[in-house]
Amino acid sequence: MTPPAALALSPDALDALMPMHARVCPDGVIQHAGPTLQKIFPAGPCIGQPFFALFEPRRPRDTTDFGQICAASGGRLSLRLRDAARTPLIGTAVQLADGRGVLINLSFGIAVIDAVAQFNLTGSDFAATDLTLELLYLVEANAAAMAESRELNERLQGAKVMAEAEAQSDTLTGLANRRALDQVLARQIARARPFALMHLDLDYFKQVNDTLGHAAGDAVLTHVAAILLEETRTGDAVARVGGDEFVLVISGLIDAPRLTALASRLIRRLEEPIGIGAREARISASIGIAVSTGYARPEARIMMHDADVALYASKARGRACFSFHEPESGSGPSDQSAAQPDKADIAAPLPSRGKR
Amino acid sequence: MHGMIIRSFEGFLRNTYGPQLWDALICGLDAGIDGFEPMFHYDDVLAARLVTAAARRLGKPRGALLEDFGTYLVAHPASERVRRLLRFGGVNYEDFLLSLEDLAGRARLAVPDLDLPELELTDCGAGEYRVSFTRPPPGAPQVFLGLLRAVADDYGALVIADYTGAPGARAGISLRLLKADFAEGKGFRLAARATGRAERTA
Repeated sequence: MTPPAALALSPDALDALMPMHARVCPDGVIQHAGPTLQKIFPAGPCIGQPFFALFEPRRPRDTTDFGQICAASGGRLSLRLRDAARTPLIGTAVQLADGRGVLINLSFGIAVIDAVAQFNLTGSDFAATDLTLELLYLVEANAAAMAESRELNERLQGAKVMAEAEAQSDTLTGLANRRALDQVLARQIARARPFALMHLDLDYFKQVNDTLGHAAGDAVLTHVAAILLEETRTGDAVARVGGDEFVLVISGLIDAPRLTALASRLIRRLEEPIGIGAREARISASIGIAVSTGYARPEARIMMHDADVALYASKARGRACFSFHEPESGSGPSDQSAAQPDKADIAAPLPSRGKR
Repeated sequence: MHGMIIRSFEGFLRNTYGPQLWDALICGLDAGIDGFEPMFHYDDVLAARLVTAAARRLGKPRGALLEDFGTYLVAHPASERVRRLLRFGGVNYEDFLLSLEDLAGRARLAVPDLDLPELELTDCGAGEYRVSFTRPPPGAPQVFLGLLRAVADDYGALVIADYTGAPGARAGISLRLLKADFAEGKGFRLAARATGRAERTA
């Protein structure tokens, strides 16, 4: 069988087969350009311009000689448009018979997504065999599927956060519960961040429940929660750990005068009469304080125990007061740090998270 | 049924008839969910119950409701992504029709476990086409009828489309393309950076 004869193709046929081709004369000037290639030069016609005045060679880098290009790399070349976006292009150049120049077919390669937007190309700008449309479709389909997936993840994340918050909060007051408190303490200790632990127990709360009823008791607890949140900062933790027992983790604060001020203020505010309908509830609080820097290696369980011991020392001294646990002085809280609130309010107030 | 489809149907009901209808429907289904997730799979029976319940509550024939769903997939702004993916099928409506047979394959490129009905397009000449389905899931031809009409509008083509054949294995759609450029179509730029939101309800 004889080899097929060389083809002679009309410019129209070439335009249909390769909408991004260029025919370049031996002197390097573009003689003809496919319709899509013409579209990427909105400023003026590319025909009649020297090829390398419009395109900057990237590979092979140092030559603009098509003879060398065709010989060296099988005609494969990599270019950039000499425009603001420096759009990359790839192409193949083949030499035409009888030294009539070269035919170069170009493509945007992976830069096609940006190029389509930049040059406002449409489906009919690409040959039917060109997979550009399929690529664009895939990019968009992938983005759509990813968006669905992301939205699902966001919904699940929202549900998870809510479930966790519910599992970690006290339903009546919305404060942290014991489980959340354990986590806060573990985090504080793991980060070796100094903190104070205040164990607060309401005084005379049982009388409120007994005389005004449980609904009034619940209202008082909610009121107490609000005060505790107002008097502490965002980074502190306030937990309700029993019927009328609360634990405060005061982060980064170990200074005795300031803790004294805080405890005094808490007691004073909790002693303000609480209106329950037409009636008034009056309570107070006893507090025990343990400070993490008082331990070589603070442990949540031991600190809780020591704050508890200090709390019962306050109760024993007649309630409505606070005591520090002081490890160095042996066991039990020290007398000198135990104080009635009116005598101990000596330090500047803490910046609080709530409005006073 | 793939969650992508049933969630789109949920979006159609929510966006067209309001959240109250949806809440009543999902409550009546008693399936222990308050909505469908696009990446999950659901029991076909549940999907069928949802369509039946919605049609009954709206006082519409099932077929008409499913046609409206097909229209929604193309014409509603909340479904812009679907419209765009369909428009990748061709530069004009005829081109789009010729790409219909690839639709299931294209859908699988995007979401590998999304099975759209296999269909065949016959060019009967003189602008007449016939779409035939091979074992379509119940209701799918009706959805396609609404969708094909809406895509014609989107391209600005004037088309008469009708449901042909008995429901079931031999279901099909006949199309007559009267004028390809009857009206100004809705724009389609290949590179749209913002592809519209998915089926979301406010």
